[in-house]
Amino acid sequence: MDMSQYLGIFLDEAREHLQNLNDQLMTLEERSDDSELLNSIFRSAHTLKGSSGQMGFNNMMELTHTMENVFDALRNKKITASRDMVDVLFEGLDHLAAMIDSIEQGGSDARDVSETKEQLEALTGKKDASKSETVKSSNGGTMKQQNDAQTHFLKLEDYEKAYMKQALDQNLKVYELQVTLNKDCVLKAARAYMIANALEEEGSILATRPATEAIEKEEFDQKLVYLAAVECEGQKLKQKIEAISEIAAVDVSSISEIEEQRAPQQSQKEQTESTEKKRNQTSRASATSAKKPVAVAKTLRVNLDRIDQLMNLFEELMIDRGRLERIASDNHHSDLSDTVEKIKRVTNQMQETLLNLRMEPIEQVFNRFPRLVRSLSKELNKKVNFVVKGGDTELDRTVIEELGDPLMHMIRNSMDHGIESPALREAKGKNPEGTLTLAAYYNGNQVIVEIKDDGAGINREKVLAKAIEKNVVTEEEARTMTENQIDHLLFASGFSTADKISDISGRGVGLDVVESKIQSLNGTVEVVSTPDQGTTFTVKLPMTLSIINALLVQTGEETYAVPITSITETALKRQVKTFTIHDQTVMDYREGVIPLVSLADYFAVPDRKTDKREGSENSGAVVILSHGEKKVALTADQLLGYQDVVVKPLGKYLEKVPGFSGTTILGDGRAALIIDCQRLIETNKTIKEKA
Amino acid sequence: MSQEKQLKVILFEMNGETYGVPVEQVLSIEKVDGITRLPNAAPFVKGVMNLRSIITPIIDVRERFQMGHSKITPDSRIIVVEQDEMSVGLLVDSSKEVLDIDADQLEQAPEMIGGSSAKYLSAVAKIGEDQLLLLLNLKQVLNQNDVAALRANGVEA
Repeated sequence: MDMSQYLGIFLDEAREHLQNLNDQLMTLEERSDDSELLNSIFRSAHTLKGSSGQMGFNNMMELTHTMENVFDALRNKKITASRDMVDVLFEGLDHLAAMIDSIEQGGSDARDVSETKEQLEALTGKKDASKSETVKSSNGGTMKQQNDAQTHFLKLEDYEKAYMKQALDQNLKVYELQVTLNKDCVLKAARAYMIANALEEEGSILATRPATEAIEKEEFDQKLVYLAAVECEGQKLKQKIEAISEIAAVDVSSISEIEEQRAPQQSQKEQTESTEKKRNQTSRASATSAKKPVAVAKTLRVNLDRIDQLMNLFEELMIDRGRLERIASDNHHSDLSDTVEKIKRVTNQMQETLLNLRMEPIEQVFNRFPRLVRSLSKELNKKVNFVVKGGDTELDRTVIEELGDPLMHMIRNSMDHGIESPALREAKGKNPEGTLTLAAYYNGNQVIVEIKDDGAGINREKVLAKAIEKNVVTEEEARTMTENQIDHLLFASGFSTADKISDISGRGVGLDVVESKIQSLNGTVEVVSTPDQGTTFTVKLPMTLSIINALLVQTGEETYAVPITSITETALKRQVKTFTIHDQTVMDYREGVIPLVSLADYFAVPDRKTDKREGSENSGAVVILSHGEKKVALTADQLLGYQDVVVKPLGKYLEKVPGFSGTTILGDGRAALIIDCQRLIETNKTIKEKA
Repeated sequence: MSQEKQLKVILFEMNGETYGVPVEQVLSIEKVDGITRLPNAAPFVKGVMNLRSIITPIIDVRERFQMGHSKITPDSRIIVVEQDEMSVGLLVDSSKEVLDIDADQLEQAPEMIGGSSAKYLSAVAKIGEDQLLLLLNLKQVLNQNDVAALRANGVEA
C-alpha cells in the first residue's frame, strides 16, 4: 500500500496529537484524578499509535504504545501521576517529536529510545507481559486488518455501532456470523455473494469483515464475518448459510452475548482502537466532543501555494482596479464611477479575506512554552506561575513559523535573569512564586507580543559595567546613556550579564539574535524594566509579511520603498544641520551625529546630479533609519507618502543581488524596489558619537 | 536533438543576426515598458519588470554576449523565457516569426560566430539563401556561475 500520499496528513496530525499530549500532560500533575483529561490523553496517544503503525513507523508505534500503557494505567487508577512520571512521559514526547521531524525530512523513525521505554515500563510496575503480543496484533491489525481472519469479534466503527443500536431499538436481533469457506473454494466472491443474499432475505447486513469491496475482490482467505440484523432466530440463519455449498463452518452468536463476553475495559480499549485508527483525521475534535459536544469550526487543509496563487491573481485585479478608477474619474461617467466604487468595496473585502487565509493563531508557538517554563523552573529551582494570554491572536503563518526561537530566548532570559529564587523573593517581601506572562494582542495593524516577569528587573549598573568590559560601549558613552539605552544593551551582540554561564541563557548569544530575527520579520523589540518590579519585553510585529506599510521615496526618476518599521522619523533637508567629518557627511541628531547617506549615491542613480544639483543643499528630504542602536539618515529628492504595498521576492535569478528585501508593484503597474534598511545601515560605518 | 524531426523556434533579431529559442521555452513576448533599474546587479541585468504581477528580471542579451548595450527602439521586444523554473525576459532588437526547422538542418555551432561565443549557442542552422539561425542555449545564457568570469572578461575587452 502506498502511504506516501498520506504522509503530509499523518505528520500534521501527529504534530497535533503531540501538541495535545504536551498541553494535557502539563495539567496532569494538578488534575491527576480528572478522568476526562486522562481519557483525552489516552485517546491522543492511542490515535498516534494507530496512525504511526498504519504508516509503517514501527519504532514510533512501539514507543507510543509503551506510553499509552502508562496512560491506561493512570486512567484505570492503577498508578498515580507524579512529577517524575510526567518527566519521563515528556521525554517520550520529545523522542516522538524528534521522530516526526526526522520523518518529515525524509528520514525514518529510527531512534534509540530504549532507556525512555524502560523507564516508562517501570512506571506501570511490570514489564507489560502483553506488550509484544499487543504490539504485534495492533500492527497486524492496522496493516492487514482487512484480511485478518483471526479477529474473533467484529470491531465496530462508530456508524456501524449506530446501525446496530438502531436495529436493536427496532427490536431486531443482531447476530454475528463467522463463516468459513472450504479451503479449496474457487469462487470465493460468488460464495460470499450468496451468503449476503441469504442474509438479506431475512434482514439486513450491518457490517462485514473484510469490507464489501475487499470481498468483491476476493481479498480474504477463508473467513468472513457478518453482522446482521434480522427478525428470525440465529439457528435459522445458520441453516440457511450451511445450505450454500463450499461452506466449511458457520458460527452464529447473538450480539448481546458478545457484549457480555467482552471485559468492559478490554472492549472499550478495542473499540476505541479500531474507531480511532480509521478516524484519526478528526480524532482531536471527536475526542473532545465525545462526551460534551463542542462547536468545532469546519476546516480544510489547503496548500499554501494555492493561496499564494490566489493572492497573485488578486494583485493583478487590484492594479486593474486602479486603472479603472483613473478611467472613470477622467471620463466623468457616473454609471462607470458607481460600478468602480462597488468593485472597490468588494475588492477591499476580498483583500481582507485573502490575507486572513494566511493567518494562524499565535497559540501555535505559544503552546510549546509551558513545557519550557516547567523544565526551566525545575532546573533553576524557581517557582514560576506561567500565564499565557491572547493565544487566539492571529498572525501571518510565515511570521508564526519564525517567531518561536526569539520568544524562547526571551522567556529563557526572563526565567534565568529576571525571576529571582524563592528565598530571595521572600526576602524582598514578594510572593515566592514568580509570575511570567506571555501575552499577544492587536494594536492597529500590528500584533504585540509581551513577555513580562515580576522579577528583579535589569541591573543597569551591572549591564553598563559589563558592556564597558566587553567593549560594547566606551566609558564616555556610558555616562550619557539613558535608562532605555542601557536596557537595550541586552540586545547588543557579545553581551551577557550572567554571573556564570548556564545552560539556560547567558552564552552571549540569544538576545542579539532575537533582535535581528524580529527585524527580519519587519518587527521591533523593546525592553522596559523597573528594579525589583520586573522586566517586560515588547515585540511589535506586522500582521502579515506579504503586505507592509512603506514610505515611497523618489530620487531622480526612481522610486524606492522603505519599510516603515525601519523608519524613526522624517524631516526636510533644510531643517537639518549637516557637516563633514573625515569625508563623511553627517547630521546633527539629538545629542550626537549620524551619518548621512544619499540614496542617489547609494544606488548610483543616473542622470540626476546635473538637473537637481542646484539647491541640493536645501531641497529634498531626510529619512532617519534605525537598526538597533544604529541610525543612518537617508536623503532623497522627495517623499511620495506612505502606502500599503504587496511584497514580492526578487526571484531566484536575482536572489544574490544585495541591497533589497524585495520588490513591490506600484499603482501605475511599475515595479519598485524595497530597500533592505538593515544592510544599508550596516554597510555604513557608524560614526561614533562624539561629545 | 537530431532525433527530433522538427523544432519550432521563435526567431528574433540582434545585431543583424537571427537568433532562435525553442517555442516551448517561451512564455510570452512583451513590448518594452516600465523596466525598473536594479542597482548592484550585473551590468547585463537591465532591471526588473512587472509582468502580470510577476517580477521578471530583464537581461540585455547583447550585453550578456559582450557586444555592447542594446538601444531601446519601438521594435525592441522582451522575450520571456522559462529555464529551470525561472522566468527571465530577454531584451532583443526585434522579434520575428515562428519557424519550423528540420532536425537535419541543425549543425553544431562553430567556436566563434557573429561575435557571440559558441557556448551560448546550442546549434546553428541555415535558413534561406545566406541566412544563418543561431539557436540559443538558454541554460548557458542564464547561467549564474558564469557571471563573475564574464565581468573579469568584460574589463579586459
